[in-house]
Amino acid sequence: MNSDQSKPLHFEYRFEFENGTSKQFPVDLDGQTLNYINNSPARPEWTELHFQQCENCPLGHDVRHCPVAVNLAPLVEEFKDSVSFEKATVTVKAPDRTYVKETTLQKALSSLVGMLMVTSDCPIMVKLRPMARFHLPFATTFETMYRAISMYLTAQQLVRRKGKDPDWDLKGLVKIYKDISTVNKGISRRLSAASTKDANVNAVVILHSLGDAVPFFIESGLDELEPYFHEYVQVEGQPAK
Amino acid sequence: MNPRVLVVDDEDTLRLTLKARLQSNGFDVSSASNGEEALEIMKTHAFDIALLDVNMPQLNGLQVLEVIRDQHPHTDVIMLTGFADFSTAIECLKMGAKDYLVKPIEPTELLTRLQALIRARSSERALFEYQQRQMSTIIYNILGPLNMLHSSLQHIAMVLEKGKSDVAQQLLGHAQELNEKMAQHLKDLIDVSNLNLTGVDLSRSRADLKALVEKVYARFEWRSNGKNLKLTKNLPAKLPNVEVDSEKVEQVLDSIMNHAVSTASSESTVAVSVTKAKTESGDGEEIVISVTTDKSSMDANEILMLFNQSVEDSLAGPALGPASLGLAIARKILEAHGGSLSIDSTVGKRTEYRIRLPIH
Repeated sequence: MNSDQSKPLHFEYRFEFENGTSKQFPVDLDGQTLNYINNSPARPEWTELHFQQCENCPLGHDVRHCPVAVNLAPLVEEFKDSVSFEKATVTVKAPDRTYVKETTLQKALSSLVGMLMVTSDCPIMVKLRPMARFHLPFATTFETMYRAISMYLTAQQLVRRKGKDPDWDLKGLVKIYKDISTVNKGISRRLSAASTKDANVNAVVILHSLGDAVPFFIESGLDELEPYFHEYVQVEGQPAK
Repeated sequence: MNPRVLVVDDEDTLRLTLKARLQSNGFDVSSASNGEEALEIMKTHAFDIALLDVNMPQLNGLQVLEVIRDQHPHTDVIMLTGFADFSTAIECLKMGAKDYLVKPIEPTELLTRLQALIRARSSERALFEYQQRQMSTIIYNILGPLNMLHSSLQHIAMVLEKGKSDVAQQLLGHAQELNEKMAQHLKDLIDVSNLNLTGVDLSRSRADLKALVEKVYARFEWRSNGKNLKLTKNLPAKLPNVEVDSEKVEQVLDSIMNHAVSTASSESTVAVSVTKAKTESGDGEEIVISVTTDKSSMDANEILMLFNQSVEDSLAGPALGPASLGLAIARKILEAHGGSLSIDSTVGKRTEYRIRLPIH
């Protein structure tokens, strides 16, 4: 754990491509708020709020730039000419450990894009912000589902401790992901306008697929996860499966 | 039967979520992570719809689309693009894709498009089946009088035999030949109609291929005499029995012999040979039946048309000789057996028809 919350959380993504070239992208998050510390002054046209604004955007005209787009702008600039299926060895240095994976650029970028989106001031994406503290690069569909549910149930436990009504049915989480799905669509439209190749857009497409999977699997009863929870769910008197 | 969908995308998250979504909505779903894998799966499994990513490594979506249009014309394709490139989308539609979706894909939009496509396919199929049934009825209506004409011509032949009028006999022979050609063409049309409705439905059993070849060969001996052709055969003393649909393989042999005899020039030789050989991959054995004519009137364009067209196109496209329709059907039957038909021809010279049937 980051015991000293006054210090930023530092992540670094390093991409080594098969042709010998490499790219690095550092991400610093505020230790307390988990906000992305964005030192880039870049505010290209596609970051303006009214440009392909998400259908469910709650922000008013007093906000000039889309907070998600602003956070993504430095990354988009770096990878605007990159092809999604380009292979790379990606090393992610996180505060507590380092991850290495041979993967496609789109897969690695989706982890990074996801982190930048939830650490923006977007009122919709902010609901997933706790997940940035426990960032898991290259997460699979089921890892994402598990992390999202864990995060949400932890939040409900904290809600209960504050004397409010917790949502143990995960209905609120389904709603959050449905809203995020709309944001992902809006952001992918922005990125299409900002990129000449497909890596950036496909990174959001992957996030959208992951996001789409969460409400889908929750609504279909979490059957995929149940086998791992046998010790909790077995009915007394019935033989173990 | 549930609609069968093949999802082709190099991104595993998308494949997994699309598959789960579609399965929960009653679709039978398979998936492939690249174009090569998709085409390999399609060799053994039929699909109603393929969802095909445009940007994939190695074979890209457009290249895969081209192969699907050529080799699996009954599979409709919806292209998926992660990049809002409308010129590519239009190109896909021009190349024969039925629709395209821009990623990220909204599940409800995908399901709506799929259901619309399935409804359209089902209506097209119903119309097609109606047309095929109508065609069969018309053909049967023509075949009846044609058979009566055949009997009448036979009767006249018997009467003329007594009078021995050479000119009349010659004209009569010509009329009989035309009559048989028409009847054969109509029978082929019935076969096409049946193939289109049910596909190649095989009823396999152990069969003596040598005996089948002998039987068909005997049928064509008299025709070769009439055309002043020399017919020869070279069959091994023994051949292993093979698991085939005897009736359909006999139809194949008939069609090939019919085509060879029809296109062979006068005074040429039609040679039939049968051998057992190793398959090209070297992991099995096959029976190779070769029919060769040393002087053929078949031209390369005709072969090209024959092998580039589906059976349906053979009917609708530029006119092939009546016997060629039989060859198109023969090719389908052999492919259903896991075999093949190839034709190698030099105009005015040699034509070789080669049938390969695997020994299972």
